[in-house]
Amino acid sequence: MKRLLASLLCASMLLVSFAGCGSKEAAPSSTPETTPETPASSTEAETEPTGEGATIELWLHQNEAWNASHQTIADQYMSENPGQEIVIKTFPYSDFLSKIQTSLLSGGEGADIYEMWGGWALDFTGTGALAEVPADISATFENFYAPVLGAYTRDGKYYGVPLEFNIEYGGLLVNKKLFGEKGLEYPKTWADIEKIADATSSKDGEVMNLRGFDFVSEDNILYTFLAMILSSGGSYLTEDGKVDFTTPEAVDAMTTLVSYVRDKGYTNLDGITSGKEGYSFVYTDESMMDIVGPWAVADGSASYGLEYGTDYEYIALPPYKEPVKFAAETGWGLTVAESSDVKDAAWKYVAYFDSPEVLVKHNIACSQIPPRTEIVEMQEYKDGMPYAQPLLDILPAGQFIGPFNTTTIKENIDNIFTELCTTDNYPTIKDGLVALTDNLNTAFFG
Amino acid sequence: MKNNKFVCIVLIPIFCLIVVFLIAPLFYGLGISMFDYNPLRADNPFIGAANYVRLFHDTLFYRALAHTLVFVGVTVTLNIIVTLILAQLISSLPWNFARGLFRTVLFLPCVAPMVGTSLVWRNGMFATKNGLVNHLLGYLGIPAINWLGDASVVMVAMIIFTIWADIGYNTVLFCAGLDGIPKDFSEAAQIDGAGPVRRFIYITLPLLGRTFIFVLMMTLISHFQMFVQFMVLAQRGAPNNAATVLTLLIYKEGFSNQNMGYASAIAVILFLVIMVVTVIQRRVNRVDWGY
Repeated sequence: MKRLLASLLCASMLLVSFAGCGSKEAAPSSTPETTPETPASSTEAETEPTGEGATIELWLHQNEAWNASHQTIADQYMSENPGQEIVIKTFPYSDFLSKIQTSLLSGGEGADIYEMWGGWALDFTGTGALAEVPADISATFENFYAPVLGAYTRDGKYYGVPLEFNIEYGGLLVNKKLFGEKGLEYPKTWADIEKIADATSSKDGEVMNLRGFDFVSEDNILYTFLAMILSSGGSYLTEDGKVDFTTPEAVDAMTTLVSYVRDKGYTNLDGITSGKEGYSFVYTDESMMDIVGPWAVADGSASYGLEYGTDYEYIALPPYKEPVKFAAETGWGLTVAESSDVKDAAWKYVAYFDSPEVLVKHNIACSQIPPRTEIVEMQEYKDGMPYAQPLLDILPAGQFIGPFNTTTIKENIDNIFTELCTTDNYPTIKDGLVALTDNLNTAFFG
Repeated sequence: MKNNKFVCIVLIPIFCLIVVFLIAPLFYGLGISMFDYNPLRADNPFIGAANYVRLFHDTLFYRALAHTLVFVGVTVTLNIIVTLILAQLISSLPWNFARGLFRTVLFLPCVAPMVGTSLVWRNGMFATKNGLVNHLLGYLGIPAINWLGDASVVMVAMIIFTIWADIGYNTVLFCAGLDGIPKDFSEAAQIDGAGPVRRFIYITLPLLGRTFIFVLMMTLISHFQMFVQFMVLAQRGAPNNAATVLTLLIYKEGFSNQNMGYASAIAVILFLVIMVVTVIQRRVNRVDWGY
């Protein structure tokens, strides 16, 4: 009897121990509604496609406005296409990439459609995990801007449909209240920026009282630097696809940026060291103006209780040099898993989502810059996103940053920039940029 | 015999768990350190010891190793000294209530998730402007310090935070160890004329040997594996990688650069460092007596 009990006990413990290793089929889970703060949620239970109908699972990262827009479009699609069911599952942003990686690598477990960041897609396009975009959808890509397709393209084939133009350069978030108090007008030229920053920047030892002009954040050192190189007529890519930051234009651009921190004291490195985004200082009256993407605009009212047009505004960044040119990485898009059982139905939904009439609503709801030209010209978009106008004018001047892991580029550029601003590790700016070039080419090409 | 069989059978599940989730990953990690391994790629070629060769030419690896050793050396030493003194002070309190209260208060930071406390320290304690630490320094006439933005002081900030976050655990362990020492020895020494300091050094400390070794070993291992404060408080290693330690370098290579093979090679080196240090300290502090 004792032996039997012991055996039963052991067997049950083993079962419990390995329960966590069960597959999706073994542990179905569903919750009644999508809530942004839950670790993972689903709107419907899973069912196999039957007849003309299909159940399509779509994975998103958690963002209240974005998820709501996706749900609205999914509901609309389901009502227009009886039998088609869109199941939306959301995950915290911090876990989202690892979720995608795990599910795509497992081949068969996970979603049919993944909302994917372009930089992530780069890693998957060569693995066979993502389905190629059907010709009827890719035929519309001639109306898309070049940067939005870059990361989804490999060997002339497309593996994702862009939802937005990710732009970090071209707009300037300004503190209207401070400009008014100081009797200053918004800058119209780069020289104006420097003049205003000279007059307003104030520092007390290590404490920055007021930043006259800020560009220091994880993203914006990179994008400002690249735009300055490109606008000066230079390039940071060599013919064999490697990076080169040792050109005279790059040295000139980095010298200028470093001088803004090290010599002129327009700003400091808080934007990459304090855990606060550089643009947040505009909202706390600690910065006159900051180069940042349009996504930061909504934060002024949502997180700081400020009013657009009264406390702050988003204006066109005066050109560093003309003609304006800038680099951008591919932003969010929709991809379909090669292993999906309902690939055709999934692509049909993606095509629906991607149509200008539908996507324009999503872009407005998510404060996104559109990836395709038709939407930029739509009055509905202009009315819905009035502060996006300065950026819309320069979209054709954008180029794809290159098929690189941008996290690695940002980290390396931020490190070298910090070293040049705070140490004498490199005798000249060019020495720092030689090290940067070597580091990046080693990281990317071995 | 029957009993042994029963014990063996009961231990099978936990043994399976240890093999699957602890031992197998160890060898798996060792294996992939010999591949150019990117989990997202279909083709991951075997490259032998190339990751280890690269590692020994990587200046950032050497810096991370140096930062790790300095951090562990300083924090473990300070931690042991501070917690030992605190435990002795708490144990010498005559009231049970006071002893319990102090132990609880000191243990609180250990209960709080380190990600949360790191954010609080980043935005509240170490903030350059309006931060509590700079505010206190201001009273002493010392100008504000950019704790997390100045490469020369960021490691000091990491050490201060770690000491604060980690002293409660060891204090409780030392208190338990001190409570377990029979009072007779100390009383005998007191009759012989030994003062409190001499009694602590010559009676208490040697009799605390087993607890001391356990605490030292666990603290060493856990401090070698510290990660959160370097990631969250120091913003991914601070400017100029001034607070990049081996664990953070493993994370960056593995999850930012998708270079799992190289990250595994660094992890193997970290494993060896911890093993060597642990073996040395066990030999040095060997205790072969009891009371």
